[in-house]
Amino acid sequence: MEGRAVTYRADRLILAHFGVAFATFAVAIILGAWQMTVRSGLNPVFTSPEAYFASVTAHGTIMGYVMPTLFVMGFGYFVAVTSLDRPLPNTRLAWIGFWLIMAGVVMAMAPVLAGKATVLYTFYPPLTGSVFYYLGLVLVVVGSWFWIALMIWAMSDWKKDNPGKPVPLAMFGNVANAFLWLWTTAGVAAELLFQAIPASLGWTQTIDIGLARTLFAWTLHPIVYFWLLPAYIAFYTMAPRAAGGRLYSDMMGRLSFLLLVLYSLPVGMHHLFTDPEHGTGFKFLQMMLTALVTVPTLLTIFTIGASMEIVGRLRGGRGLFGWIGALPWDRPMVLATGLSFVLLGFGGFGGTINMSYGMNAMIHNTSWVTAHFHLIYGGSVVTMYFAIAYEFWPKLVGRQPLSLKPIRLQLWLWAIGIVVTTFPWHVLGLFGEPRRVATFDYANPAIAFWQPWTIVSMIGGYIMLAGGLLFVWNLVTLYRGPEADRQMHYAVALHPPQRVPSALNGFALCNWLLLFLMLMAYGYPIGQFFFIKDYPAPIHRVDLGG
Amino acid sequence: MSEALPPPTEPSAADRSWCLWASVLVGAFTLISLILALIVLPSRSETRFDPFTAICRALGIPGYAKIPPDPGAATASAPVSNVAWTVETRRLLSNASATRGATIAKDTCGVCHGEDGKSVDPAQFPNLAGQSEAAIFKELRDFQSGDRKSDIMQPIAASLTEEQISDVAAYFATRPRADLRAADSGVLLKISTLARIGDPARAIPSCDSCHGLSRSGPEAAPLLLGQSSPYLEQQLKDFGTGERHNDFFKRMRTIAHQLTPDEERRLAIYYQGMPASN
Ligand code: HEM
Ligand SMILES: [Cu+2]
Repeated sequence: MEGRAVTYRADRLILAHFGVAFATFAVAIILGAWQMTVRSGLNPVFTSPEAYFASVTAHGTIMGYVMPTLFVMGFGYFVAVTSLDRPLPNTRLAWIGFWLIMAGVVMAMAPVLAGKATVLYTFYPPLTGSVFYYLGLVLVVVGSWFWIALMIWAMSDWKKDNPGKPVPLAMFGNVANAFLWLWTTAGVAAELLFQAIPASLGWTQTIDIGLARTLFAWTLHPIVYFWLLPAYIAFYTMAPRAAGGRLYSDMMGRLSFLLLVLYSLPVGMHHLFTDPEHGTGFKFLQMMLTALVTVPTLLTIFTIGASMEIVGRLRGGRGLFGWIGALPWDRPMVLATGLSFVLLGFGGFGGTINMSYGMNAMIHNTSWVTAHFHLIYGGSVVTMYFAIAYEFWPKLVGRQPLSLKPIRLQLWLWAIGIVVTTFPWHVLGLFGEPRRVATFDYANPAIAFWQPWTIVSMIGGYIMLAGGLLFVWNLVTLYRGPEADRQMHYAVALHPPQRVPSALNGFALCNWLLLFLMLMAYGYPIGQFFFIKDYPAPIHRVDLGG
Repeated sequence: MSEALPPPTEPSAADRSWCLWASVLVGAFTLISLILALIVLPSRSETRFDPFTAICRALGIPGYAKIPPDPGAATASAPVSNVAWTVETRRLLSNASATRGATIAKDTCGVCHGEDGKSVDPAQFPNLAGQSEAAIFKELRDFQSGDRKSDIMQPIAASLTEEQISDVAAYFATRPRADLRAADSGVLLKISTLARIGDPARAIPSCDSCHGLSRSGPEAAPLLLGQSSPYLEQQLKDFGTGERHNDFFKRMRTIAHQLTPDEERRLAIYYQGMPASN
């Protein structure tokens, strides 16, 4: 396939999304390191429970909503113009979406900084914050819906002009993520509009916490896959080419993306295993469906492993594992893919514990959970965000990096930081250390032995911080680099597809199956709150300070 | 890349079989999971196969749980207070009328606590002006039920209805409080630290976290600032000995019995406060 230049006047649009995403990211990792310091009992400046929880709210809101949404949108616009080789159907709408998000971010973060929305980023009533926090996040979601529309529109326009041709794999994954996001946001949007916002305006006295938690669970799991999909798209469409090879199978990529959409949605109740509002039946059903997510993961590990093995052997690698050493590890995308796979392996192991109905009780609401998602999301996903930024940024600004050394150093620092942070954190979780607690009484002999573990974990946090700041620095120095080729090339499949079944070239079947699964998985669990039982609780307004 | 294929006119056989098999696989997996979840697992180790009960149990419909509730559990330990912060209690409080409460305050409470909530003898009778509504409500209900003992208050509270109690609580909550701040210059740093931060080594949390102005602790924790020091000291002593025991989960008893008499006295002075302009 020919390379495509990033023109079509989307460059500034994409840079705006990435720029804000990574600027807020830099703020959030500083908060993260400070939070680690507070928890380790070293009493840094400004230590107080209020400051800690306001900080966790800001950190979680940025890392959970602001940074990834903007990153995924910028990524999507880039992939759309480069893989389809045509302008966006409507650039003005894309900018409107962007500015809605900017307005939303300011509106949401102001009350967080003022301590009026210290509700963390999971909307679990009866704790209710300032209405501006919720309205701001609604704007973020609505802004991202513009992106969804543009992605679907871009793909269907292209299909109209290229009848019978397979949609380029990168764009296919991208539109899969757009549909995924549409389904995902429905839960939290319903919770915000019908529950949280009326509560924060004082229109209602009570709030149904059972329903609220269920609607949030609807969103909480698939949002993780929304964060994850760009990483998977990079595995399939960028890593094999970066290594100098081809993608082993295009079909596997399509199948994985579809399965990720299908099996990320009807599973969110695995976050509610210890909640009383649901019976065991639907918890078990959703656990079974959760387990299916291993299928696309294993498909991906197999396909990318095979793609890389071909490269390694062509480069002279021998024996069962010799090809691994023969890969061009000096290239950032290859290195990032390797590191990301390793972190994904550890994180995936932890995840199987979380999703097992029985074992979940061991680690519920302990530091294990925070460790798990930092490993998967902060570790394997964000590592790929870095690699993607290193791939796209030179094309966007037409400059090459001065040297690859600081880039490799950055990736290593981040990966080591993640391991040093999260391994002790997992251990602490097994010892029962609760998550979302600001300070611990290490003078108490029963938990005194936690402190050394938290201090090691904190050191890991600072290594990550160094890695994160070096990332920003690397992007800044890029502007001083020599001129670069602005053509984007995606990996070509070993056997480029000529024609694929429509089930693998569009989303109609996927959406129908998803509708069926969502009705099965959430129909009764949500319906029961309206017909059988409800869980009203008095609203607790944190913005009223009393 | 090869030449474009002619556009498909009708769904090909391959497309149809993808749709069919994907639907069959998804449907079969869901069905098997549902049978396991709703029938097989909930009827494990049952003597009689009874799918209806199994399904109701798996759906969490009340009355079908495997383990019947322990009838002894409810009577095993007497509650320390009969007040529960249910939605009904909240509703009662939010419907309370300060105007109706004012009449009761004048006729009944004013003689000791002052009509406007400024006590005639603060060492004996606490100031009620600006006290939290929930706190006044809970104490009156506890006097009523005998969960808090007082020869004076018990008959008075017993003569009031629940609505009257919430009205009078609403009334005193709206009365202006004296403009005070904690007497931090009057006590040792150790004492103000205890009040603001607590003492982790003794597992004593900060008093302010529940009783401070921006408190976020239990619903009914009263504001302390502005009560007289003899009154506060007496309450701490009573909690310490267990003489007073209407605190949920023994929160205050656990804390108070660890305080030394000197700390009790000084904390009481701290919370008696001093003029804010000082
Ligand atoms: C320097 C790097 C980082 C450090 C030191 C750090 C540290 C922390 C700490 C200490 C907490 C609070 C845990 C608790 O109170 O239980 C936290 C929460 C969180 N972090 Fe990070 N973090 C870092 C990077 C990241 C990254 C890269 C992401 C995702 C992209 C992320 C996402 C989150 C989320 C979503 C929460 C949950 C907030 C909540 O519980 O409401 N963090 N982090
Ligand atoms: Cu999940």
